Amino acid sequence: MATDLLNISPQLIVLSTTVIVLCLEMARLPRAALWALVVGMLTATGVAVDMLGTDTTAFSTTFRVDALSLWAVIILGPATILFALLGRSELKDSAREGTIYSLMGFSALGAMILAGSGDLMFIVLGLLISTLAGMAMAAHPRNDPSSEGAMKYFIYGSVAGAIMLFGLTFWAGLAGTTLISGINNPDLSSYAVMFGFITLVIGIGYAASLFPVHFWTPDTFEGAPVSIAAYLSVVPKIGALFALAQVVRDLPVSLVDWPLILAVLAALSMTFGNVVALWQDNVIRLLAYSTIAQSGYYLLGVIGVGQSTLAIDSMVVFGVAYLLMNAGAFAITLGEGTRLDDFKGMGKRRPWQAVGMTIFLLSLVGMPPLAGFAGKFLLFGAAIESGYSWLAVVAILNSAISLAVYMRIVVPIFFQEAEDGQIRTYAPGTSFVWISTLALTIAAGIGVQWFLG
Amino acid sequence: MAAILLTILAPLAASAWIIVTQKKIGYAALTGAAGSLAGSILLFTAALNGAVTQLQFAGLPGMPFRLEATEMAAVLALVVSVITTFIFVYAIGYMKEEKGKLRFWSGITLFMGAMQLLVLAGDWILFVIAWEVMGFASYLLIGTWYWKKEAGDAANKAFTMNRVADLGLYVGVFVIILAGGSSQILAEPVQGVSVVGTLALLLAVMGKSAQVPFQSWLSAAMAGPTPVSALLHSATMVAAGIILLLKAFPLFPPDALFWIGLVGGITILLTGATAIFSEDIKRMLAASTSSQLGFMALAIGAGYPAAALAHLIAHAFMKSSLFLGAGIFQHEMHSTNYEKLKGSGKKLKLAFSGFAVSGLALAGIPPLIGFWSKDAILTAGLQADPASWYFPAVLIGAFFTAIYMGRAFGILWKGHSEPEEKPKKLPWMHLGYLTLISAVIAGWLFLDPLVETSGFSIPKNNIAMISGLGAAFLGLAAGWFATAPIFKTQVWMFFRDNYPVAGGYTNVIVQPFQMLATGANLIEQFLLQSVFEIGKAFLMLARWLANVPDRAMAFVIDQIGTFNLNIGQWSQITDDRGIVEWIAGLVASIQRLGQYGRNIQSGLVHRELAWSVYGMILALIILSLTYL
Repeated sequence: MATDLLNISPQLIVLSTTVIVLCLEMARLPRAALWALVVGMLTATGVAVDMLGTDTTAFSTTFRVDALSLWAVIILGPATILFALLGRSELKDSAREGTIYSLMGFSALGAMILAGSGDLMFIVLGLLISTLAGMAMAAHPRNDPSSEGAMKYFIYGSVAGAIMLFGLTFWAGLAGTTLISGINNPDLSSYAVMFGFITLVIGIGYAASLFPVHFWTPDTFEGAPVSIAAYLSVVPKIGALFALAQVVRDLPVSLVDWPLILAVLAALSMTFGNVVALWQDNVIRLLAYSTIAQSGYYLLGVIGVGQSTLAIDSMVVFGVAYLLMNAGAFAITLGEGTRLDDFKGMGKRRPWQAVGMTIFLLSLVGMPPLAGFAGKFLLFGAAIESGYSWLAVVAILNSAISLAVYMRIVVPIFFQEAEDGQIRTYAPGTSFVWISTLALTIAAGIGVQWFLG
Repeated sequence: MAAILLTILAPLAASAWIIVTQKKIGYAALTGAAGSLAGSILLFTAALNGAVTQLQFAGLPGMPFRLEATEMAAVLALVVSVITTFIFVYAIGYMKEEKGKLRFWSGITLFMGAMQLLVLAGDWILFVIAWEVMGFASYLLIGTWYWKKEAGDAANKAFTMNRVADLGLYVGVFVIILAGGSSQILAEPVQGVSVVGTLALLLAVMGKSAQVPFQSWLSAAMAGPTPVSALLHSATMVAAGIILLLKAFPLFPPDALFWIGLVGGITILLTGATAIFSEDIKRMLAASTSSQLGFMALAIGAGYPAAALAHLIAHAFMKSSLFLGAGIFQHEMHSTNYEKLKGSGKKLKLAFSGFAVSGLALAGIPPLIGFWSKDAILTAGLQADPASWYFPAVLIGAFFTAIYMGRAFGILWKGHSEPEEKPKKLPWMHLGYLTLISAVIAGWLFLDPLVETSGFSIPKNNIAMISGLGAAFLGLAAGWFATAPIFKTQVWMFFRDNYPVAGGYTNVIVQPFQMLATGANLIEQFLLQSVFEIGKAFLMLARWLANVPDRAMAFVIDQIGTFNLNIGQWSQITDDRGIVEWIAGLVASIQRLGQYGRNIQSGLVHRELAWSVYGMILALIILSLTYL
């Protein structure tokens, strides 16, 4: 028991931090709540870094302490801090500012639990914690668009969750256990496993905004505050995809051809996200479709799990890269405005931010030597090693389309004259986020070798 | 090690300095170029002593970045930095009175740094990085005068065409790394680099080196300042494609070489004919660049990288000085159109004699540098296995080269030019120009040693030399007398009275070529047409799939409507020519696909959930099929 608790100490630290943050909010001390969150998340990250290399389980193999779950803490802890700083810049002095910090903490905890799931119940639990908290955050402004977006997120979550529970009941019922290590018995009826697996993908795909359960993404993002949209695009997604990796790790392909179905979903997500993004005039919606596409790329790493030595590395590297470039792009959007027109003439007005935004977008395309390239390179490699070369080709073609998508933002920045209007300012938190993520986007791309050790 | 960093970083540092301080930008750029020149000289002397400078640093796991000044890379770096430095000298004079200095100088130094990185890259990933940065810098440079519509369009055209072709580089590099298990650029063959991998790389080369059918961005790129053209067309940018072939040459399976030679051969002939019929001195030079790079591709296809390297070096000097000469004409006469330039050579004697020297070199007149390299290419064509068509292709290409150069001389020299203001004094421009021309004249001294330092020896053959000389003299004479046909009727008559023989030449030589060019155009259109048909079929399929859930009646009516609409749109697109329109069509069809995606995204949650359920059922069906 004591070792179990020690093994999950990063998650415990996050939990207690969040409770403290909640108490500080009750005392109406939002600034203190933010600092408590920062300190707590840094501590959890530090502990997780210290524990890297452990590969064990806790609580009778229901929770896994391995590379995936530890890296989830290391990625999501700092991620929460970055998004909390963005939230501070955006929602400072609004009513219930502090609740955002505690909800971010809870949602991150849910994602961390997902990433370490050793049991189907943990997946259900993690999904609920991370998405319900996310829904409350999306509704924070309490106006029509945000309520609609949050409602949509909620309805989608309920339906997807219900389908998933329904399917998992069959699977677990036949297997006689909810342990992930026990549900891969080759003697099981393949049709039940197939049904269970598909419903699981639906539930997880909802949190990761994968096609065909991505429909909530653009509406929710558009209605929510920019910082919350940024949060939702990164934290639940990484947790959910890591959980999927935990499930398929022990799943024999003979029982259910999971790489095939994930490959189909990956191809559809990438293509759908990029192609529809070409039509968007709102930067947040454009970035929302881009996260759908990026989820598709991310699946290439999951497909490689158990078949390619690059798989786990690629998921971690892409997770870091995705966090950095997405947080940076959202931060600058927060500073400039959410319409494409707001970006007009930015190259003259704010040259540094303009170059920064261009670098984030090029990194999202996957241009070397930025972080996004390193991540995608490994993902493509993992897919090819697993025998899915056609998928890698689809992904490369999609990268070409995505250049056109992101150029939609770059072109007004440099080649169009500014409209008259009020110029927004950058809060210190926003500036910190985009500068630090920019430095890391460049550094991570160049130093990925040392980064992996 | 310091030398290799100096070579790459000096121009990049200059670029950063220019952006940050915005002061003394021309001289800062020149200092950066000089630093790079110093670095490359050090690398070259080290290479002469047989020492290979290497540097490894961070990179992907198990695949560190690697800079490597092999003998060939050191030679190429030296050539790049010499030419670039003197183009910079020229550009200080050229840009004095032009706008857009900041963008020009910061872009061109970035460009130089990227090119040196590409030359010295010792692993494929760094090579891809340099390739991309250079593409981006070229986009900036071509669009230096971005407020002119022409310049913006040209920049976009160059960028999109190169992007399409760059996909090939990504695929090719993937194949190489997966086959060899290492990202290092090796000089020994790697098993498993298939014909497909080679063709992917060839696609990238065709884009960068402006080979048929990607040749049109190069002439559009003329919208940039002349020093940019001089740089793009000589030792950098287009040369990157050939450098890629040289670096990857050991990896190519023998079957794949045929395709490289084929692309080169076709390009030599088609763009050579274009150059002959050009009405504008810079466009003629642009078409000639494609054609000359075709020679290099053909030499590699014939299995003689030494000949390609020799011609790469020689062409870099010749073409950069030709462009700088054309730039002086443009500066003085305010035009690049032949009609405006006719006879101006008599007034601008210095510029004309330089232009003539480099032009004679390009035509292959001894002892200028081009004679030696063209001789090498001819020999390669003669000694290669399928000599039956390699050699004639090269020989005709050499003949074409001589014709268009001879024609340019004729136009620039003959006739009367309007006496305008006195020629301006252009010390910087003349300094850069004359230095490069002296290199063209003295080429026979250094070309052989340079190629030998790279570890190759230039092939030589007497039959090739004699037939090459014959083609050169014959072509020059033909070109000199065939200046007439471009002129309007009146002038035409005037010329015919003075040179009665010109009419004969027109009938014998010019008309068949005109027919050839028309024929080539027809073939190109046919190819484009077939591509459109395939695209149309796919688009119809996509539309049909997207409309499945509609009610049957609405579906049928809608289909008939959109079908007609489609045909209208596509036939409109097919009416236009060129691959840019093809790309535009592709983008449009992708955007149209996007519109369907948007229709699915109705915003009504119950409909969207229904789509999710359809998706789930589809997934179930796919998986069930795997059990069959």
